[in-house]
Order: sequence, then C-alpha cells, then structure tokens
Amino acid sequence: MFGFGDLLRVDLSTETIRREAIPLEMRRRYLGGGGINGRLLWEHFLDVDPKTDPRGPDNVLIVGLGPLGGTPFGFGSKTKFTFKSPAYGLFGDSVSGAGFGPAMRWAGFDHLVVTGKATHPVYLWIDDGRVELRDARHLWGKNALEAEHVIKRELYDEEVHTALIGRAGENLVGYASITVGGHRAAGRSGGGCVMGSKNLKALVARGRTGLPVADAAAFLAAMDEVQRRIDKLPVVIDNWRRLGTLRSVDFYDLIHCNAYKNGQLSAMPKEANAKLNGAAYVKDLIGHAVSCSPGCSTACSAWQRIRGFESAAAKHFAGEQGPKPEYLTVASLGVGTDVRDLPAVIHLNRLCFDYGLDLVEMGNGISFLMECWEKGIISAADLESWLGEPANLDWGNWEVAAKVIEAVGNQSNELGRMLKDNVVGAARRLEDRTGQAALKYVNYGKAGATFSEDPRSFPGWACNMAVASRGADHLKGFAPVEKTGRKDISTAWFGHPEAGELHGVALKGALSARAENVNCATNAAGVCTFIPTRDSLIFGHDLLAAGVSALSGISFSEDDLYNIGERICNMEKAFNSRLGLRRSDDALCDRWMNVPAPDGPGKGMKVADWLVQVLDEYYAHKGWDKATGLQRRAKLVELGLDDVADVLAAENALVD
Amino acid sequence: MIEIKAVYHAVFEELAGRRGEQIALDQSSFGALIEQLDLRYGRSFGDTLLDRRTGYFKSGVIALANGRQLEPSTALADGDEVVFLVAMAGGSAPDAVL
Repeated sequence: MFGFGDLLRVDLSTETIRREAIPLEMRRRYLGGGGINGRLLWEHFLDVDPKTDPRGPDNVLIVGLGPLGGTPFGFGSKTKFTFKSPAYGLFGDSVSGAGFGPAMRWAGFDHLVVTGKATHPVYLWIDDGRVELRDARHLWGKNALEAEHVIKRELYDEEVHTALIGRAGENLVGYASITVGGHRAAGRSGGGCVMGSKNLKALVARGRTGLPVADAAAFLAAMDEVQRRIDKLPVVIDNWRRLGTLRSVDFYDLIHCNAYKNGQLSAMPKEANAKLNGAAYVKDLIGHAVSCSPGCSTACSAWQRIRGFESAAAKHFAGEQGPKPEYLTVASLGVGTDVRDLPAVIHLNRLCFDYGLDLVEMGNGISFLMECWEKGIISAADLESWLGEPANLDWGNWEVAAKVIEAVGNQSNELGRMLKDNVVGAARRLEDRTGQAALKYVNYGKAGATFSEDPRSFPGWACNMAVASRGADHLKGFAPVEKTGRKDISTAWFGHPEAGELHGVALKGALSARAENVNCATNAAGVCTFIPTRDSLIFGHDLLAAGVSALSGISFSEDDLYNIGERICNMEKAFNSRLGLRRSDDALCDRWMNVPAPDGPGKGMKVADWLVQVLDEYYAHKGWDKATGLQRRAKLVELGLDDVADVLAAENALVD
Repeated sequence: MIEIKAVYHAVFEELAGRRGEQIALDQSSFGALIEQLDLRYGRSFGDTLLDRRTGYFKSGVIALANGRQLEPSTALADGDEVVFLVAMAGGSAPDAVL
C-alpha cells in the first residue's frame, strides 16, 4: 500500500513476532499515529480487564507514527506511544520527536504492539524487514545515554535510532519516560514504566526500505504549499526558528501564567526572568539550530555545549552537551522551583533524560517539596534522614533538585520511594508521615501534575487541563487562540470573537472541544502540532489532507481529518469511561480551583467560579451528556463507533 | 492628556527604530495610540499589528497594557506600559529600554 506501512506485533512472553497488514478501513477511520494506536489499545482491553495493573504483564505498549512522519513534508515527525498509564491509572500516551518512529516506518512498520513480559531484559531490534529480540542483561542498570551508546557500538552503527529507558523505568517509577534518540522524550504518562515492567530495555530501528509514494508530483506540490504558507508568516516563523517554545518564558510573565514557586505567584520577578528567558539562552548558550525530528522545515530546537562561564552554576557542568531546553523544561525545572540559572536547568533536564523521568511530574514534585519545606511540613531532620547528609530545600537549590531526581530514578531512599507513583501519591505519603495537610500544595488534575503554567485566569487553558484524557495535560486542547488573543480564529471557528479574549469565559469550552479534535488529527497524520497551531487559518488541515492523499493515493479531505480527530478523542474518552471516570473527574486541584489568582490582569480569578459553565459548553460541543460527562450513543453512532457504544452500554458507561 | 510608556519588540522595534519611548496622548484609547504611532512610523506599524477592518490582532502579534489585552476602543490610563510583541514570544525587561 502506498504511503503506509504494516503493523508489527511482539509478544515478549512467548517471544513471537508477527507482521500484519493494516486494513484500509482502519486507515480511513483512524489514519495512523495516535488514531490507530488508540483503536489498538481499545481492542487489546476488550480481551484484558481494563482495570488491570498498568505495571503488570497484561498492559500493552503501542508505538505508531502517522503517514506524513518520516517524510520531508515539512512539519516534522511525531511518534505516539500509547498504553494504560501507570502514572494516572487511566488512558496514557506520550509523543516524541527524534528518529525512532521514522526509522520504524522506513523499515516498513507504522505501528508496533508489544504485549507480555520477557523472562529477562531484552531489546527489540528492527533492521528493515528483519526483527529480533536481543539480550539486554548487560544494559540493565545503565541509564539511557550510556545504554544508547552501548547499543550503537554493538550494532556497529551510530545511525540506528533508539527509544529506551533509564533506571527510572527499570525501577518502575510511575512517570518514567522513554528517552528517544538520547535527546527527546516521550515524557508523560509513564511509558518508561510500562517498558520496565515488561523487561524491555529498548526499541531500536534501522530503516532503509523507504516509503513508496503514490503520486510524487502531487506530494511535492503539497510540500511546496507548506513552504509557501510558512513564507506568509515571516515575523512569526523567524521568531519561532530562533527561540522555539522557549520564547514563551517571558510572554507568559507578561500575561501572568507562569506558575512561579509552585504556583504561589503567576509571574517571575524580572531578575529571575532575565536569567531564564530565550534572550539569555541565545546570548550565552545557543550552538547551532537543529530539528528535533526528520522532515521539519522550521527547526525550532538547537544544540548547546555548556562552557562553564555562563552562570554561577555553569562550572559544574562544563562540557555537557544537549538539546535546547523547551519552555516546558524551563517552566518545570526553573520557574516552578525558582532555579534562576539556565545551565543548572539544562543539567537537571539532562538528568531527567538520562534516568528517563517525565519533566512535568518530576519538576512539579521538586516544586512541591520546596513549598512543603517553606511551609515547615518537611523538616531538616526529614531531609537529612532521606539524603544521608544535611541539606535544604530552599527555592532555587538546584543541587538538592538533582539529588531528588537521582533518588527517584534510583529508588535508593525513602524520598525516592515517596515520589515513586506521582506527586499526588507523594503528598499522601507525606501526610501520613507528618500528619500535616500537603495535598493542597500539589498542582494536578486526574492524578497528573499540571506543568508550571497557572491556568486560573485562562479558562480555555484550565478546561484543557481539566478534561484531558491523560492527567491534567495542557497539549491535548492546545490552541493559542486564547493566550494570543486571536479573535479572527475564534470568529472563523465559532462565528464570534470571544474565544480570543485572554481571560473571558465564553466559548472556551467550545475552543477546547474543537482544538482536541484538530490536534488528534494532526498527530494521526504523523506531524508536529506546533507549526499547524501557529495559525490554524493559514496552516489548516487542508495541507495535511493534500499530503496524505498524495502519499497514499487515497483521498482524504479536510473534513475527513477533522472527523478522524473527533473519532480518536472519543476512543480515548471511552477508555477512561470504562475505568469509571465521570464529570466530577474533570476538575483541577485545590490551588487552581479555589485559591484566587494572586496577581496580574486576571487577579482574583479562580477555576471554581466558571468551570461549570465551561464544562457545560465543552460537553455540548462534544455531543456528550452534560450531567454525567459520559458519551451519548447518538454521537458514537454518528462517528461509526457503534461497537464502542455497545461496550460502554454494557458497562453502564453510556447515555442512550 | 495622559502619558504612556511604549515598549517595542521584534518587528515593532525594527519599525520604530527604538526599543521604547514615552508618548503623550490627547485621547486615552489604544486606537489613539495606534494613530499616533502610524504618524510617527508610517501606517505599516498599525498594519503589522491590526486588521484595520475588524480591529483584531494579526497572526502572531499582540499588544498588551500591563498584561491586559487591547483593542482600539480600550481605554488607556496615565502611566500604562503598552508592549508590542510577537505573541508567545518576548519580552520583558522594559526598565532597561527607556
């Protein structure tokens, strides 16, 4: 089939490997990436109890990259990892750049399903059409960067692409991530923990088969159109190429949504901002621009080498190399913790890559500990007993932050074990230990940490976090309509401008509902969400539809893609409904719900004041039941998901 | 008469040829400020920022007064700091630019 690859099934318990074609009908309905992954996850848990332990052998790891991934289309390649989340106990997924997914596709496989558990550590080696499980006992105990080096050496090829775990995954830390290519991560939801629970140290791929294209001339024309539209936004794209997501550090201070010091304030002091913003990175650290994945024409990332004089802490990390920190990196490890030292933040980022830990959950955990220290919930005696030496958790203490990361990754002491599952779990264990209230200092939703953005005065953003199918995620409904005041996009989408009001409530539920569908389709196509969301009026899904159609020879329209996105969202929702989630679960933590925003133009706003209105609108636009938050049969039938409706109805998780 | 502080970033710094300035306004609206800047730097300043027909910000750019969203009818107050920038991008440090 032009443009599409096969499905690879690997059962680690029986050591069987099977190649299957993916039916055309599945392509039409789910396209690829997170779409087909989601369908495969659903089907897996028809045979397996969805309430199964996500760290047990019955969980599944599914990897997929959509059809435009691994091609030079222009929007990069984003590989989706899907599983039941050990971090949240719900639907789990995570997206990564780098080369593993593309190499898998170049080897002929679009999707990989791993089941069972190996008797000893193994890694999966996909070498074009040849696939084998190899002994990984010599890799067990090594962190990600060293393990990748050893694998490349033993395969005599520096160009193989890896997705592997560090010690955090081996030690079954709930939010262990998958380090991809040594410089990107499938961070959220705990995919690394799932790999560790299966004794699966790494996925390795080398692909030289290539991708047959149905209509090369039309595909080149679609690529040209991508470039033509990029050229329509020189101001935006030039800035994006120079700074990438890091540019949000100071914009978010201006609009007051940086969750400074664990969200106690919503903007940093100017002197802290100046140490962490994009200008500081460009001035002292930037090396050369790189793209994080194949096929990207904007290359918003970069590579740096710390020389040792860039900051007070830099001398400790002289010679360390790595990728440019993203905004999420700085927010999680610098804004929330008040570590005002960019090289130190970069070092902590590298530690998380190496151990394989989700930056959001880990950074939030460190910020949480620092606030508990400030409030006197954690004592000096507690900390000394955990670390074996006197220490403090003062704001900005990067050295103790590094020790927390190592403790979690190694599971070497009580502190690490306290943080094993997620930050909510850590707070509960701390409450048990101290008898003091601590959960109110965790910023979370559905047991997942919210990353260091304050949503209290941004109703659209708060709605995204409250309804996300994985814990408190900000990207599922990502659309810079609200925060960048895009009343033109709001008018185009809804006929009214209100979704483009920074702090307005009207149309924010509708915005989340629509953006989720759009973003799911973007991932199903295999590309990065960040360029399409720069401006959805310019980078509409007509571009993706043209690319996929030319590649595959199968006609997909813009409307087809939107419907695919909506179908994917409904699959994720249905999975969580089977686990008992209802409307009351679409909420956020105490700080975001009940504590008024402390500063800025949205001062005094809090989520509890308007969440009911926003959720009502969200469910209405989804076609779901407002009272329960459950799906309605009519919507599922409209999407051709009658079989899903039947399963939900049998489990009292559907409104007829 | 009010006086505001204008801070320019990215393309607006290029258009104005400076990083910021104090501006006196007879009328205290954001629209009046844009008219003033059009006179100083040419209509390309306002054209870069706004769709003149709707008053909405153009793709990827924004202006904020002390973090508040603006449109032409928005009232400005004496001492307001109005920042022109690429949305989602920098920057801060306005104290250093005047």
